[in-house]
Amino acid sequence: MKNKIIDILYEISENELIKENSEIDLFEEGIIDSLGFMILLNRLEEEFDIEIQPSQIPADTWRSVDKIAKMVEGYLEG
Amino acid sequence: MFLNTILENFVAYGEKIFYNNEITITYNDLYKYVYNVYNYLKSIKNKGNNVVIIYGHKDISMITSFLASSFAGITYVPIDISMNKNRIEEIIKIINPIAFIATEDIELENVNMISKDKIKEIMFNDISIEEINLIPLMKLKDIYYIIFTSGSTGVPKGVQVTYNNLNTYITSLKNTIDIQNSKILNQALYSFDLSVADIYLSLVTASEHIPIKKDLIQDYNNMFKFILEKNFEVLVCTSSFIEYLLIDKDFNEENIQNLKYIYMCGEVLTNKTACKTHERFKKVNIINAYGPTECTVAVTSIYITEEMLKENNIPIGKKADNTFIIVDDEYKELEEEEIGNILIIGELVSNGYINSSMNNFITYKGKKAYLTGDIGFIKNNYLYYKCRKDRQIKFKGYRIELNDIEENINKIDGVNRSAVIVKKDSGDRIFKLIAYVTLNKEISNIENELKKNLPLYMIPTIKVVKELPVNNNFKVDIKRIEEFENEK
Repeated sequence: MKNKIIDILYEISENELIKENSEIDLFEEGIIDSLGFMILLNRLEEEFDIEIQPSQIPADTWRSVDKIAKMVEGYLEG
Repeated sequence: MFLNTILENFVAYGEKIFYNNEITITYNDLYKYVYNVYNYLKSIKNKGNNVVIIYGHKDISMITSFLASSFAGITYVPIDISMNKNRIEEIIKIINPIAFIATEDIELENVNMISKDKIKEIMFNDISIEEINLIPLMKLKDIYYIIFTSGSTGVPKGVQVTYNNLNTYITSLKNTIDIQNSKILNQALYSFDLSVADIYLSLVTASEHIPIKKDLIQDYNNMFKFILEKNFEVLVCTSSFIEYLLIDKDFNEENIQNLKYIYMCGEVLTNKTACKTHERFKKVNIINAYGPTECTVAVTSIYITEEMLKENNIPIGKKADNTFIIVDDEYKELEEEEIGNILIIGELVSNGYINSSMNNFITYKGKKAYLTGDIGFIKNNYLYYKCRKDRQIKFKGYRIELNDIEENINKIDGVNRSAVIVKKDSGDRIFKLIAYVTLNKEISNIENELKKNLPLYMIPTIKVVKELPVNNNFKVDIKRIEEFENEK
């Protein structure tokens, strides 16, 4: 799961940092901005067959790969 | 004239809220602030052309300064904090301002700096409404504002819009969106002329201006709370922003109950986005507007109907607005459904650039006209957009000349040649810029060098290659690189 998310983030940003260190802050490092965010949501929804509602998700979820993975798991478990 | 209308609203609707963000500012407050800054600016005004630069991010002191300059008969140049220092220094050289009003901190030399603290001190000078004697000194032929946009030579171009241009636009906008004492949500940066639509529409209709700041846009969860709370009736934005809001299924008419108008401009509105917006907001008027910065925000607009959604291409305007025609390369007017150049004619055509070639500004049958570089056609009296004639793109809502990026890459020591291409997703939306670069010596960080000269939204992903493909004329073969990138 985590690796899949890292792959998607790399695909969006082509930023090597995300492969080197998955602990980084995605906003601070400029890995995703609002356009990247839209693409990320699309890709996550496709990949895991879930429907994400960003208004229901705490803002700092999007800062870390771990938190995104946990959020996706939450959706998968229903 | 709309400055007189604003003046009337200051008096008639003093108690009403104008600015609604973390703080709220009434029309009375704004009236006092504007008068104070107006007096100050009058005191530093010279004979001849006077221009001020107003720098910051959606603070009330920015709008105060816009109005104070306009009332004082001074041209203003709005600059957002997303613009970087080297570009700002270039702009200062081009226009030689009488003052640089910094509503956010920035260090600059060789300019008459009015700091954040200083402008607040002037604004907040304690006066009573009775003491105010605000007289509009701006004349119709004067330059009202200058907005800088990406230029293909690597230097930003300043578009000079007159008071008459803006007055014509505001008058037609008021007819398109019929409101009074309403609430208008703003997305665009004040340096982008789409914001002119919502700021001035608020002011002339005594409505609330509700700006969403940059950090909040990035923070979806809190942004959503903000828009639910603000009960706005009008939304002025780019189509990318609507797409961003539509991601969440709660962005619908049950939750945004008061919404009556969505005014979109600045980017192509796709059929998919138009349909989705209509599905969520059945009763809302969806307006698609079209026009380059050179012709004062927008020259034509259209209410999207269900009928229009059946066709893949969404119209961008209507012939009845009488602001444009389609011509061939010899300026011969074309028939319905014939594809050609969109030529804008009339009162909305600005005075052109302050620092750039005016080739595209022409006289057509005795009237001012502007050749947009947009290719389109007219069908059933509606205007449709097809593509660009040159390498100008819209990315993240910004207008960018790909040549501008290449010129700035080529200036970096060690770079031999570069070619910038766009990468699109399955929905035909640009999501990335990629620069292929060849070097003539080993250099390490091109991106960091480039960030000194270009704003973040113009920084491409850099790919260093041994050589660039060329076509028969030995020009870089952009198409081939694009095909290669998009096949991956």
